[in-house]
Parts: sequence; structure tokens; C-alpha cells
Amino acid sequence: MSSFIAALLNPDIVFIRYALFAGIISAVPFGITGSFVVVKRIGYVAGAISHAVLAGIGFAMYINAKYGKEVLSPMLGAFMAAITAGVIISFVSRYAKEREDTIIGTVWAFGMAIGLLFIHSTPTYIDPMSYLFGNIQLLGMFELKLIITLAVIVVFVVVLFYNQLLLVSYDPEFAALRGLNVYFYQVLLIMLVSCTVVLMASSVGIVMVIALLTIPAGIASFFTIRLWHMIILSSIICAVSVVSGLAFSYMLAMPSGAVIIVVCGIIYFAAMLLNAIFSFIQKNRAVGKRDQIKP
Amino acid sequence: MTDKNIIEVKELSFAYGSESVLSHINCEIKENELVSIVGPNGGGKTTLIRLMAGLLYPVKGKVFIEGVSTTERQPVAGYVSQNSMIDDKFPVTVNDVVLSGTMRSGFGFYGKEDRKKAAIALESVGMSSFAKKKHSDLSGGQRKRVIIARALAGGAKILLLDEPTANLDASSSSDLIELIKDLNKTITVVLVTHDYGFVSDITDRVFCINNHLHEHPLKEAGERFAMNLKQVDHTVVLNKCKGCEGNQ
Repeated sequence: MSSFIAALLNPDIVFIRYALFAGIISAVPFGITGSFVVVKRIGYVAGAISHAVLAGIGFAMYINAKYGKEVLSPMLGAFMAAITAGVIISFVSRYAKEREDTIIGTVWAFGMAIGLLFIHSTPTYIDPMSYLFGNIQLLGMFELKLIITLAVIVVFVVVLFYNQLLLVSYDPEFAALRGLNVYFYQVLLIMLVSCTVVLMASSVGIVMVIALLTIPAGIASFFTIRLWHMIILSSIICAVSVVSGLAFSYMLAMPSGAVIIVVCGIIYFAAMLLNAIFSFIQKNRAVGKRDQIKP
Repeated sequence: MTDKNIIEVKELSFAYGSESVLSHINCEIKENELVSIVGPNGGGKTTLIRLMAGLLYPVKGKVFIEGVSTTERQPVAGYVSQNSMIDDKFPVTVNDVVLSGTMRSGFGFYGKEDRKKAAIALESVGMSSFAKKKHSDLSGGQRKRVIIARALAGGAKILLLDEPTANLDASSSSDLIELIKDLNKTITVVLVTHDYGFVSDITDRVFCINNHLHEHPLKEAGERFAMNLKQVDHTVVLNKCKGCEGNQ
């Protein structure tokens, strides 16, 4: 641990500070949108968006290599691809009357394929592993600013529309009865997921970002009965996973994305076990009380 | 009950694609009246109540709520569907659900007034002590009460209940019927039901729907329903009602 703290304080090693800062800042939007993703059971939509992001990254790498300078940041490319994927999923499933799983599967695979084709066509060698599984060295000051901007947008929008998003999530029919534009809020939620996915695409990679979106919220769901409680707990778990994952990955010289997700997974299984034990104890107490009442 | 019509259905027709479900429906429901809609499966009961709620729009004709066409006004907040759509695992408390009854379009938070309305609505259905419980921890009957409280919190003047006693045990059904009777003192209630005992006990009028609508004379209907309390097959009723026979 001391080596990680020393690295954090070392003025020459900026990428660890950037990664840590990005992780802590991203934890809040991840906790927020992740909770909505889990309770609305739209993890597969988030999965399609996160994988389709490779198209944007590949495109950015391709034109940067072609013009010999950075025309488009890969993270900005990822953001554009995520928004495009979100718009396609929202509009095609509503207006083209296509089966939702078909369009999600198509966006998922098509985005990845386009990204790989761009990477393949790029004259200089690019290691796709960094983008698929994360590399904290990909984070620079521009990426950090973009992360902060997107995080602020996500938090602001959700705070503003929290009650509406909550109602549309659990009872869209009643939301329509109250005069809410249900479709608008559903699209808004998908756009928020798109923004959030981009935040940690560099640190944990586009393949594993979906885990960070769903696992902390899944853990929080064991112990909460209100959505905003779930959001707060989920954000804390996400921050703890990212910070400890980064520390372990630095100390063990292992890929940051994989270590963060492993930490997250361990917390999930431990929480599941704890939850099962609590439920068992509660059940036994209830049975005991019932037996005491019986004559 | 007053003489003022709160719901008016005029020459209403509705179809899903090319399949006609309702034809030339005409009826009026008065303020604080309690009307039951019965009929065979697929006869158009739920479709009619959803048209009244403004969740569906007529192919022909119009539905007026307080004199305004459903195509020109916000849907009726007092609609309660047969199956509560709230996911069992959704982290939402009873109070959250009832507060959403005061929801307005746009953005913003619930104010003091909204919380007060929610508390009064919960009190009126006898669920105040459950306010902080998780919604999914409630029984079927308690959930129905909460959904009705939500409609009341929004200031609903009309309750449109689709099969309110479906999937409830006898005791919960009986409690719910008492609650509906009580609420009907100040609110118009229209309910779709297969529970004919329920109909004969509390209703002011009975509409029978099977593509067309006709009204059962209450006394006749009450006696017949009372006779057939245990016979839930609607064809038994159909055979004994001239209006229903004409409908077949």
C-alpha cells in the first residue's frame, strides 16, 4: 500500500492521480445510472452501448493516424459512438417496431465490428486490448476534463428529474396517466447510460465497464428499500472498488480494469452471502416468535 | 349521487387492427355513482375502462370526462389496472408510491402540500402505518389499497378499477369492497369485475359489455347475480338476460 501512496504523491507519476481522480468522480454517476440500469433491468442496453463505443474509439484512432496529429480524442469518439448507439436503440425499437433484443444485439456487434475495422485500417499499430480491458495510462488532462463535465451533467439531470425517472422506471403506465412523456424519460435514461459508460471506458475498458455499472448497484440492492439509498450506497461501493482496485493493480503490476472488477465481484459475493445469512436469521426469528404465540 | 354526468360515452367504437372490440357504445355515469361493468372474456370490458381513462383513443365516437373529450385532456389519474406493474424487486416504499400520485409533468421535487396529500390518502385507505415499508413487502390486498391511495393523492374524482378483487383472498376482497363502498360516498367508481357477488352487493348500475353495451336493470341483475354467486361462468348470466341474449 505504501508504494501506491508514494506513487500518488510522486509528481512525476501523474497518470495514477488522474486515474484515481477519474474513478472517484465517476463513482457518483455510476452509482446513479447503475442503480437505474439494475432496477429497470436494462443491463443488456448498457452492454450494447459500451461495446458499440469501440466504433468511436477506432474511428478516432484512424483519423488521428491518417492526419498525423490528434484530430479527435478517442474518448470524445467514444462519447459520440455511445450517444449514437443510444439514439439508435431508442428510436429503432420504438418507431421501426423491431424486437428490442434484435436491435440491441445488432448495435452491440455492429459497433464492435466497425471499431475493429477502423483499428485494422489504421496504418500505425494499435493494441485493442488497452481499449477493451482498460489502461489507466490512456487518461490525460483532456480526458479528465471530459469525465468531470459528463459526470456533472449526469448528476445534474438526475437530480432535476429524479422523481419523474423513478416513476417512469417502476410504473410507466401511471406516469402516462400523470401526463409525463414516458418515451422522453426512457430516452433520457439511455442517454445518461451512454454518458456514464464513457466515463470509465479508459480505466476499466469497454468490455468491463458494464460490470462497474451493474455490480455496485446490485450489491446496494441487497441492503436498501429506496432508490436514492441504493444510489448513495452504490456510489460508495463503486468508489471503494475503483480506489482499492487501482491500489492493488499498481502494487501487483496487474491490469487496472481487471483488478477493479475482481474487487467489485468479491464484494458482491460477500454481500450476497451476508444477505442470505441475514435473511436466514430473520426467518428463524419470525418462526420462533410464531411458535411462542402458539398455545 | 348527483344528477350531473361525470362520464359520457357517445357512439363509441374501438378496434384492435381490423378486429372490432366495441361498437356504438353509449352511456352516462353520474357523479358519485358506482357502476359495474360485467361481460364475457374478450367482450371489451377492459378496453372500455381504458378508453374512459384516456389510455386508448376511440376509433369513432367520444368519451367525455367532466364535459371534456379524453382526446383533449390528461388521462384519468384514478385508473387502477388489474395487475400492479410494480416490479417486486424495485426499491420503492409505500410512501414513494403514493407521493407519485401528486406528480406533475416537468421537473421538481415533492413539496409539503404533496406530502400532506399523500399522508391523507394513505390514512383514507387505512395504510398509514405501512408508509415506510417496501411496497413489495405488502400483501395483494394492501398493494391494491396503496394504488388506490395513489389515485386519491392526485385528487382523482373518478376511480376506474379493473378487476379490483382479482387474485385476492376472500377476506382481502371483502375489506377492499368495504373500502370502495366508503370511498364511493365522495368519488365516482367504475369497476370491471367477474365477481358477481361483489356487483350485487354494492353497485348502483350494471353494464354488460359484449362488443355492444346494455344495462341490466339493477334489481333483476342483483337477484340473478345473487342466484349465481358461485357460478362465475358468464354464459349462465347471458342465458337469463334478454339484453345479453341479444348481444350473443
